[in-house]
Amino acid sequence: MIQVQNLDFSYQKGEKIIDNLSFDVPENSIFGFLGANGSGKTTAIRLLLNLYKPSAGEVIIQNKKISLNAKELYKNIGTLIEDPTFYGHLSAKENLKLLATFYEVDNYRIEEVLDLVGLLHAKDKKANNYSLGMKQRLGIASSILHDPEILILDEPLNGLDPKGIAEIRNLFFKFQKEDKKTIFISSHLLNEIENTCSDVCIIDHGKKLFTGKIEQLKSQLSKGDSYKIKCNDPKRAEAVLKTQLGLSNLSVNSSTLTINIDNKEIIPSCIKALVNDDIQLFEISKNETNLEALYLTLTK
Amino acid sequence: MINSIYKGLIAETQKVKGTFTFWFTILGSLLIPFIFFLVYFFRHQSFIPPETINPWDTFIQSNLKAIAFLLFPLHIILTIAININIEHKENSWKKLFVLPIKRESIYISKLLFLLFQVFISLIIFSLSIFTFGGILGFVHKELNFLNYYPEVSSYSKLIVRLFISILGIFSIQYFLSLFFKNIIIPISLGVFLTIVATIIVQDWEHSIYFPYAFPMCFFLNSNQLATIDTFYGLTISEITSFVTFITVNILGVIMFNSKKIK
Repeated sequence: MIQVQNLDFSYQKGEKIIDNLSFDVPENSIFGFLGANGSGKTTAIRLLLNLYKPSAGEVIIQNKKISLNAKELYKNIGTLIEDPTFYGHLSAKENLKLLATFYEVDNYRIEEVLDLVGLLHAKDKKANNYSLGMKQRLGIASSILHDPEILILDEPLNGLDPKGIAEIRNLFFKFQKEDKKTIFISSHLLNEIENTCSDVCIIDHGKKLFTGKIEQLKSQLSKGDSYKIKCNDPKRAEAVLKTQLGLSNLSVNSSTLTINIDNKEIIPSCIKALVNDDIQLFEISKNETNLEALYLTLTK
Repeated sequence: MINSIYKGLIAETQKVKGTFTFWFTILGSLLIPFIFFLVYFFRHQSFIPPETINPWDTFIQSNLKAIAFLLFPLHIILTIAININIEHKENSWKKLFVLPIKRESIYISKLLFLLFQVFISLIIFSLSIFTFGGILGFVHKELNFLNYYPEVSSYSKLIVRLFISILGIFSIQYFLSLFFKNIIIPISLGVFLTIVATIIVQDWEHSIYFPYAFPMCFFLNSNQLATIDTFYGLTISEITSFVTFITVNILGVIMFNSKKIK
């Protein structure tokens, strides 16, 4: 759907902000674009939208070069670039009406999108009087006004409270599943990207560190699985597993024993050994490797 | 392209709704005629014309001179700066530049809208001159405003010439306002150049090539070059105004197309 091919960009000679960046955004995916502040995310998004011209490389959207077909492609792309921008002296409805003029969208659609993002009750309120979270919702409403197939959203969850984040996340899922949209989201909220996206691209200092499915990233970086065992005597449990099963990669804190193993088939043997030694087991759970841990491993 | 410009014009109209720029156009245009109205109203004895003289001629000339020298350059400088500052203030360029229209359409529709705003100013200005003149005729019959008609056709020609003569200032101010985010820069540069124009227009014959002096040149009898019709009834400063308008806007479109957003 979106192909980024060997992009280079610099504001000044010799200082590459984007360095040979390539990735593919699969059709109908929710794609997370991750990077620390100043890693080049927003610049990359501006290159993606042809707002900046790359010094090398190309962006291809729906099999068309954006550099040559921007006007045509913009009909099918909804955007939110950094902070949402509105005319503060106009109401939410008036702001969307202004955009609707360019997209040739009917008035009923304005109310429809305001309803979708939960702003219908505040449609006549001036944008200046909106909170950051409301502005963010209005930004999302403006990006979907013309019902585009592709959404390119820069930090769309900024300023939203946990309930708002959950609502917008569900909205993204709806767009993906029901409306078959492709959604490109940049964010530094790793937890949210993990909960929302199927695919990611991680950049640092303008360079790609990883692109692909989150699962791929997990299997690439994690060394075996880690399990947490809660029991009445973790120290004795450690000794049992060491002596009886020969496990070596163990760690203990006050109430928990953590074991790292390559093969989960060993778990039943562990349980059997501990039970036979009269150790009371309260809970055994897998330590999920989260994106944050992977991200930190990748960028360290 | 025409369809995009039309959409842009509609959007511009929606944008200025309830803003200062909207009221500035109306109130700014009423200012000079209202001042003359007050002067005539309170000092009407000084303005009683001889029986055979049309009082409208002096009244209109005084008003036109005042706006050409003083109000109009400042009015244009502020109207353009305030309007474009709406985009700078909200940083809405990044939204405008991803709309499915060409950048030149945005440039042209904004330009046309502002020209229309200036045109409306002139209409309001003209209507207020005639209205205030009429009121003065009612209140002070000795001023003779009700015994004569204003010469509308020659007045219209003057207004058209005034409109042409401001195109130079208009294009330069449009250019400055678009490319300088800080509103102080186009305003202060514009005011400075207008002051320069008022200084040089009396004493320097080549002021007919200085855009900020164009509206003043037309009413300047001391500079012969300024009032001689040279080409299709236009003076040199009016032709230069046209040429400035075209040149600056061609450059403006080229630069606007490569304008980077922050």
